[in-house]
Amino acid sequence: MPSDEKEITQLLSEWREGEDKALDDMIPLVYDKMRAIANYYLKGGGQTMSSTALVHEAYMRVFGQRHVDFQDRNHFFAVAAKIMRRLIMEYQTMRGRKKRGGGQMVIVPDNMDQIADRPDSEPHELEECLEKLEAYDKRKVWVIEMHYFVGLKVEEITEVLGVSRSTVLRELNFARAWLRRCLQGDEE
Amino acid sequence: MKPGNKQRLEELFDAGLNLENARAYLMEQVQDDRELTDELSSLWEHCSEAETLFSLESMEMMRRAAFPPEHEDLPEEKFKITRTIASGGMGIVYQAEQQYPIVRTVALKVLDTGRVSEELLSRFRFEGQVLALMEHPYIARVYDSGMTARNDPFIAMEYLDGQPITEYCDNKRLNIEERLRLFMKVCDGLQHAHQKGVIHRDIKPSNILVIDQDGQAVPKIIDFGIAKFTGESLVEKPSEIRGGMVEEPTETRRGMVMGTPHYMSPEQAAGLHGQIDTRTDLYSLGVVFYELLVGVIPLDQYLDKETSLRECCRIIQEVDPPAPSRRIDSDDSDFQTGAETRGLTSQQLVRRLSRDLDWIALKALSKSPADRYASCSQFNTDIRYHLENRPVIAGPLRQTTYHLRKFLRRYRNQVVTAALFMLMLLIGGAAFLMQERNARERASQINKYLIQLVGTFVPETSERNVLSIQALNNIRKEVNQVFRGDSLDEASFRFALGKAYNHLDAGEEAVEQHREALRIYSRLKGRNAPESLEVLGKLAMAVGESNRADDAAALYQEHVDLLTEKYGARHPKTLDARLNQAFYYKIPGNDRLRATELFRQCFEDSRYLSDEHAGIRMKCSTDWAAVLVDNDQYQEAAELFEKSIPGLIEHFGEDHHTVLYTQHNYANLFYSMDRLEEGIRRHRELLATRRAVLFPDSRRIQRSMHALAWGLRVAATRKINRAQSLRKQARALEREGQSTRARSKLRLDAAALNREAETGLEEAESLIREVFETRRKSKGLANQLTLESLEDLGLVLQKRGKLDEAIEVTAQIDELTEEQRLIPSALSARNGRAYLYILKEDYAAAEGLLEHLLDDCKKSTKPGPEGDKLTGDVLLDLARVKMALNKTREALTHFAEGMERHVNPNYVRGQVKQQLLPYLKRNDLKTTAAEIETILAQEEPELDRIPALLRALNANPPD
Repeated sequence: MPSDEKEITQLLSEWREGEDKALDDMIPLVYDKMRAIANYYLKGGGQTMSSTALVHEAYMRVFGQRHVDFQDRNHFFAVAAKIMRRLIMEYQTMRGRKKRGGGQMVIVPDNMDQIADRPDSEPHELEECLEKLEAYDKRKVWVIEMHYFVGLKVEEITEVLGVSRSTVLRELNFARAWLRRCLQGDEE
Repeated sequence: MKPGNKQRLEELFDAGLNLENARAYLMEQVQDDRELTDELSSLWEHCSEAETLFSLESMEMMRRAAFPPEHEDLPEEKFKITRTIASGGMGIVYQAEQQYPIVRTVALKVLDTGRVSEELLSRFRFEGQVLALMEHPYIARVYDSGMTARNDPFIAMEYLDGQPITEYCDNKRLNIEERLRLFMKVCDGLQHAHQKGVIHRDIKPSNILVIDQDGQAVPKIIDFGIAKFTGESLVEKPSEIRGGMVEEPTETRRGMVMGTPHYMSPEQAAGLHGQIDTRTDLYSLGVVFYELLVGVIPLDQYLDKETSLRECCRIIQEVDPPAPSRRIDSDDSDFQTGAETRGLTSQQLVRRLSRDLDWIALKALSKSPADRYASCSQFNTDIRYHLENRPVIAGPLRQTTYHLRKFLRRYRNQVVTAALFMLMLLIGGAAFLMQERNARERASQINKYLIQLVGTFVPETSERNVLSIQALNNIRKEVNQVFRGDSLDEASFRFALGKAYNHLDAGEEAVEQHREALRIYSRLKGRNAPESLEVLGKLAMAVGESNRADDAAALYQEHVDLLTEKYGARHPKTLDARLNQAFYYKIPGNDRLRATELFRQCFEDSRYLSDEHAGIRMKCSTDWAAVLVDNDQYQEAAELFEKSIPGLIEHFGEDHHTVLYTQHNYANLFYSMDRLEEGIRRHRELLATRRAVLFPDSRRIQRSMHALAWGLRVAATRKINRAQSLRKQARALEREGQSTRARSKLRLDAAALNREAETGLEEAESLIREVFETRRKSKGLANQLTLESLEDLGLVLQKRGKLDEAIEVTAQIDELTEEQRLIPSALSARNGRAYLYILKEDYAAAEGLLEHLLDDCKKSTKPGPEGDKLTGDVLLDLARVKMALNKTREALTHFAEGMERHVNPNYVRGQVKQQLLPYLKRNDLKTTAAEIETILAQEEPELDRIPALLRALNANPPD
């Protein structure tokens, strides 16, 4: 196993043991990895790629075929989902900038079209709302990230979180209404 | 917001999410807390009603990435690589020697993980599992699959030293028929995969290898690499083909494109992955079919290596291909060479392809999946029809000359004389007759031909189409002018004419001619002369089948009596007449018990006949066996069928209508014995046979289609129920926190079952729709059979989840007049329609329909079990509706009466448990509910005490 991958697994277990700083250390490592994978596919000429495939490719790079501890796996998804969100935001912003000059969108978040009701909603608005929601309840943002940025289905989120399907649905429904309200500019 | 409030907020939000009516109530609960109520109402405002619920499909690929297999055999120890066969976008294919458990040559496909995406990787791993499900001589076998030591996935499959099908056919210079026969095998193989719920998605010549095996060309379909389970899908869709963002495939991306562009179906080209089903493969198969016949692919003028993917997609979606025969340019040297390869000149090739093969190819290549063949086996069958000179399904639906030509070609020898004569009659008509001097001579001549004509067409092979009522009416007019009612010629002529009318379902005319013939024979030769007896038998049947039964029973009896007197009761002729008589009583509404007794007597009397009369003996046995089935004596019936059918076939021949009729009854026996799959298989075979030997709109074909559709529907319903229970088990495991693997397995199994059910229902729908439409056209809507199939159509649609369409289709019943609505099957169909509204929870509509129906039932049904069952059904349904509408009084009255009327205690008990009890409890009628529960708990529940309880409740309602 290459050294940075060893490091990631090490950090994951630290994080699990309550070392919050481990998360901050881990993000750049995984981020680089996912960037690299994305670049590899996208250098061919700016095609689109599925965010789910990207996260899973990253997962495979880190863990390969090894049997992975349940919690490690969940935490990895949590980290990857956050990174995916950041990557997507970056690309969205870039696209927004290029739109006038005719740029191309490079990553299609799988369920993104469901949330971006307004085609012209700026990425930073969404980012702001996500941050507000995070302040309200972290887990709701996590669920949103996994569903919309990674493209996990409800059943899969159920597995990652180890909670019931109806809990996931409840979280999603609530967070969605909350975000939609926020995006439409209502004051809380 | 306070932490406690947060939880309260989320709970209330969730409770009111899908129940807008409840929101006001929920708000009241917390009305003191302004913050909470404001927050709630503003969040509810933002849960858009158009929100699509999440797709419940789980992604197999995801799960696999997260839960990798724990241990795999390492292939290096198992396989010794001999050479590289090919390397491409997906990885490398080696030829290798498997070392253990047995030594054999395999093709080893190893995926290069360094160069492909996770997406492709999962797809590859999936391939092994999918393929392992399939076992068919025309599909390449998969021996093994797993991971190499370097974590590269591999699949070991049957090593095939074959050529792509197009190259093989050209190298071997196969002619058109040989090509077709080879292609039919491909259809067979793919049909197998489709039945397993597997879509290939990439059918093209290089994925259909042909090898020589014992001098036979054997196709092998390979590379179900991007196949997926159609029920539960899983593979992430590549986004290249999404509209507006199409990019050219580059070297690194190759293999990511789903489907090879030129063989891709229009729905694949449109990127409509959700719409891909087995018919997608049928399109691609159509492209291969076209190429085998013509030498080029259908749109070759527009598509070549230079065409961009985007352009390919557009062309495939928009441009209609030319028919095969039109594509061939006789002046083009390429086509000349191509035709020579097929052993023809280019002009001959054009003629060979025109009509049938054009139609078949264009049907397969229809842009809309619904217009294509419904299945590989249908495609296959149509090619067989073509080879056997039968009308093809893809051909014009109603083009009598086309069907006639096919028919004439098939029965060339027997038909030619008769057909010529008929033409003479139609063209020459009266002129031909007038030229003859002697009326008797003329009559004899016509008679001879007509009898020959009728003899050729009538027996078992045809109904309708060849003869027309118009032609017969012309003949009858001549006959009426020429004859004076005093000659044997006239009698035999009228008898033949009557039979001809009968086969055109012109019952009245048939009866008239038979009666006249019988009158003449009786006067000239006596009532018990062989001729008279023959006519009498046919007359009885003609009267029995006509709507006005009049003296049918008397005629049958006279026929039997005269034969008994003349030949004895056990003579084959007498037995035949006795069977016919029994059949008459078996017709619904006549006298079933009497029929049973008559069949039994025939069977008893026939048992001692010598082998010389094996035919009639077998007939009596199998007809008795059919009666046993009706009386639930399955074991005896099965034994009798098994013993008699071989003899029946030997005596009459495979395709004889008596044999086919018996096979039909035998297949039904498997339905009764709860061996649905076997019944379906038999009915399917029978349908194919009947389609091949009968005219396309024969009512016997419809009977077969009906029976097949029934079996498919019931089997599908069971699969859906089974899938539900598997999902329930999976959820239970989930709650217990049990292994993910077992759960995935259950869900996969459930999805496979659902997929199978859907395939079955799809076929059932298309069958029953065809039957209904044919019947509606030929018999009208106000007909027992037409209405039966309409009811079935509604049922199938409902099972497929198309409730609204079912309601729309069954609305045709409203076209019936008040009087026609009293036909028994109309009553039953109307009940089915009302039930659809119950399922839709439109109780007001259901109430109106059922009340009207109840009046009609009481007005029309004869006393007896069948009428009571229907009335009982209607009453219980109505009770259910009244409960939903909270009309307690009426509900209880109807329920009580429904229970008394209904004849099936199991059904009644179910209704008591599922409808009545919960309703009573909901409405606080606890005392009665408790009493009923006591009754149900009895060893033999005294259900008949319940109606009285309900009436008592109505008489003394609690406060």
